[in-house]
Amino acid sequence: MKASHRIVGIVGAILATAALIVFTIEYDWMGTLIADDMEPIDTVYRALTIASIPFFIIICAILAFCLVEFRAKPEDDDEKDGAPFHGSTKIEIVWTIIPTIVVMALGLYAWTVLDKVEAAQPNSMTIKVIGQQFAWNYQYPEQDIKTGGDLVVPVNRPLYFEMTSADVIHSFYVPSARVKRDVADGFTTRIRFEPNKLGSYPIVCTELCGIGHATMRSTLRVVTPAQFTAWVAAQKSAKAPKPTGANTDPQTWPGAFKNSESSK
Amino acid sequence: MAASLRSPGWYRAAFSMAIGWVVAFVLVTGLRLILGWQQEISWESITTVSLITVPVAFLYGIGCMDYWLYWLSGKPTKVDDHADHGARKWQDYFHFNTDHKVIGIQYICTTFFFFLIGGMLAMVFRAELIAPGMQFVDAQTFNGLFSSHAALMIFLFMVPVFAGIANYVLPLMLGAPDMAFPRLNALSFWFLPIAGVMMCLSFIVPGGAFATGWTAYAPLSMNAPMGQTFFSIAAQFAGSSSILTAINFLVTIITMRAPGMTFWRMPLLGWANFATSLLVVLATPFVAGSQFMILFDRALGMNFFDAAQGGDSVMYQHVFWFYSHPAVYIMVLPGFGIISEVISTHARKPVFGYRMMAFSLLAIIVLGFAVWAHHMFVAPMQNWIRIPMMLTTMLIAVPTGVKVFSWLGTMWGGVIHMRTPMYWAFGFITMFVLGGISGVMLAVVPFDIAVSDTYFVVAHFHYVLFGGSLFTIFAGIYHWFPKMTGRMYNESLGKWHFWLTFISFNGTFGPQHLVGLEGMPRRVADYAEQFAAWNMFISISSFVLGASVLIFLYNMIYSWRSGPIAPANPWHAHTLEWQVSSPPPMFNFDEVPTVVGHPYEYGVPGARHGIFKEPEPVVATVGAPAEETVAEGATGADDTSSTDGDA
Ligand code: HEM
Ligand SMILES: [Cu+2]
Ligand SMILES: [Cu+2]
Repeated sequence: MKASHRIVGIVGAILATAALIVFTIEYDWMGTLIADDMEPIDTVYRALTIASIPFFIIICAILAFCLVEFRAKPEDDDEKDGAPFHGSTKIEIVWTIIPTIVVMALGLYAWTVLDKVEAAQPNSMTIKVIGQQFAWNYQYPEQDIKTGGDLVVPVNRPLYFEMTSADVIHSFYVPSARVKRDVADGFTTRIRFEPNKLGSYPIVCTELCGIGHATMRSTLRVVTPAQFTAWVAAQKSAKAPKPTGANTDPQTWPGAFKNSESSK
Repeated sequence: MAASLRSPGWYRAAFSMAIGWVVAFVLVTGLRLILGWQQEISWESITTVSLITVPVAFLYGIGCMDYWLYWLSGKPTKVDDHADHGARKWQDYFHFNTDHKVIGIQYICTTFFFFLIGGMLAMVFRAELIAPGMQFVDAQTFNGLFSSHAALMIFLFMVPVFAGIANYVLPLMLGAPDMAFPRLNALSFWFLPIAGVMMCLSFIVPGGAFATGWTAYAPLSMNAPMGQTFFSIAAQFAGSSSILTAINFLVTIITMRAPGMTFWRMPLLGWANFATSLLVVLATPFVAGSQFMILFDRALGMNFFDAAQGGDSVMYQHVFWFYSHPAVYIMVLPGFGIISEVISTHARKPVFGYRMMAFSLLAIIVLGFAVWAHHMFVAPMQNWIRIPMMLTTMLIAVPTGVKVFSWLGTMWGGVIHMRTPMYWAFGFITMFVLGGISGVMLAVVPFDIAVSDTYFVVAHFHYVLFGGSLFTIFAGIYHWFPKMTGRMYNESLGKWHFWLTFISFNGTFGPQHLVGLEGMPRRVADYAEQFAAWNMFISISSFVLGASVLIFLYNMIYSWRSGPIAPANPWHAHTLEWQVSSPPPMFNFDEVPTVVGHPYEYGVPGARHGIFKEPEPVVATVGAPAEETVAEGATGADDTSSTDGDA
């Protein structure tokens, strides 16, 4: 390979790395983030990606170099061998130690982030979430409300969710807050975040829960404290949607074994 | 007719399967009569029991147990005349056979058959996903489609196809005449079609195919329709198959290496299968256990997982992942072995850091048992477990990275022949690295909480399983195709296959990272409008990806029938399987080789791996016409000395 080609290759690899890193920083990967205190999660993602880019580029560059430099020439006969070296303990130690340090550093960093985003906040509003086939129900103990409609919350108030399931496992996922947690019968799981942006955002179920899993969605509505108070009042006047009943229609699961057994 | 019912084969199999079903009927109905239950005939219970009796009857009928039954019943066992050893005509591949080369081909063809079915299921649900809303199938069918796609791909393709390749190649590489337990080997193969057919049959039972994912999480799977039982029991057969093969590999590797082949002179494919087999025997019983518990919950009301009755559904996930994380390594470690063989052979270089290659395999299997809960970061388990599991999971990247760097080191300074297997090796390294990167990202708990159970995870495991494992399988199939069939494949079709697959693979699974990051859940029949554009693109790419497999099939079938005759050693490799004719003689080595050196001493002057005491008469030299040596192998059938390892 000519020296000029090498330089072009190296410069190209460096430029590609730089371009990918800039792109990683600038691109909006995960969509709107409504909770400022979850920002570190997006940062973790970017940090992981940026750490991976040089690694991937170096591997590709070495592969490309091998392909050009060490490819068999047409005049080589099939039995021409490469240089007989078997390894190098020094290099092997290097490429064991460096990745170990890198992943452990990333791991410890992630640990601190996890502690931060999960830290309990004062003045939290508790909301109970009950998943069932195939709907989300919410209870507000503080306001004494139950609803099967939207999850309406006041802006800038830390939220604390206590979640469980009435039947199979579901998973409560708010993409715009970067949180999810499974809900299961017999367990109470907990998540928290503090919405800082007004608007409506999707809530989806991410744990396969049966026939209606794909459409087990709900809406998070972040409203002003005044709107929230009004909403609470409206709920109490009992015109709002009530919790939906569990889908106990046996036709959903025809021939369930236990049913036939108990029908003796 | 009576004679054909007495001798092993398909007639006897069909007949005994009918008997097996009657046994199930009588057993269940009789019990219910005795117990005085009102509804004496329960088709569901009968089906459940027959899912066990009919396959066992099939195994008997096809001849898997004849020898053992003679022995058990005290009759004189048949003198082994090797009538069931080696294939003389294509029909022999459809019968009980104890030759590891026949079993290897049986394995590979059967697993690719289920690969095609699994792939077609994917085409159907990708068509459904081409636009939001419901197109062609209803939600229950959709769930059944992706569940059986995954189950077939994992239990009927990825895990056993490696066992198939190793079945063919490994005894040859080790200089052994066969596997240690040929009859057990045959039995493990015949478990497979049972498991596969059972999974496919679940589509026609009331309620449709099992629809709870390949993970079959409780409590969803406890009350699911009858198709779920088909999955639980099929998983037992597939699992038994891998356990028995793994035991066979372990004993073969430990006891049947050629004289002089120490562990440190063993080709890395041997090491890879050694490590994998250890994983299989230690981990597979856990998936068997998890599925038995589901089965007992369903059939006997045992309440392992019913919270209302004091059960614990998270326990299911722990038991399941305690197998299924190691399972992902079961699905890739043999591929690591294949890639090491392919790269050193086609780059004509010694493997860089051979010992570290072996040690890193062992490090992966040890660490692999300490990471299972990374699949449960959002499950209702104790919070503190997440941190140690995150750190161990990230550590696994280190031995995996050592392997990647060593492959690069192996290529460095070589004489690289860009034949089709090498294309797949290059594709493997790049794609597997991407999958490894997203794996490390998923190990990071705060990030995983955001993207767990989204398409990001789907993208991750397709990069490691398709771009990783499947690419190694293609590399291995092309690499050993001349050895297995005695014919050369078509290079330019092989390269077309590679490029089409490589590009459409990235088109299919690359964008899944993006929609996953934006929050599209996995396992959904319908999705929000915002993901529509990418999903259309993904679906179209996936159809191209499906079409690329047709090139592969055409190349394999056409070349097998009428490709150019392959020499014994087309790649001029050093390992033992290339020192015998293509395909090898019936008992592999007419002369037991003696191993005198390392397997990859390319470029080392005068280095040899194996020598034969009398090189002239038997060993097919380069360019010897294959037919001649095949005929020679066939006449060796009366040689009874070499395969008396009884199972
Ligand atoms: C560097 C190595 C790897 C790391 C760190 C890693 C990490 C992970 C993590 C953390 C998950 C769970 C994601 C979630 O569900 O939220 C996952 C899922 C998965 N990984 Fe990997 N992985 C690695 C390599 C592999 C390999 C080599 C394979 C297979 C050949 C594989 C196959 C899978 C599969 C099939 C799943 C999804 C299972 C399911 O939920 O259905 N991974 N991986
Ligand atoms: Cu769901
Ligand atoms: Cu895992």
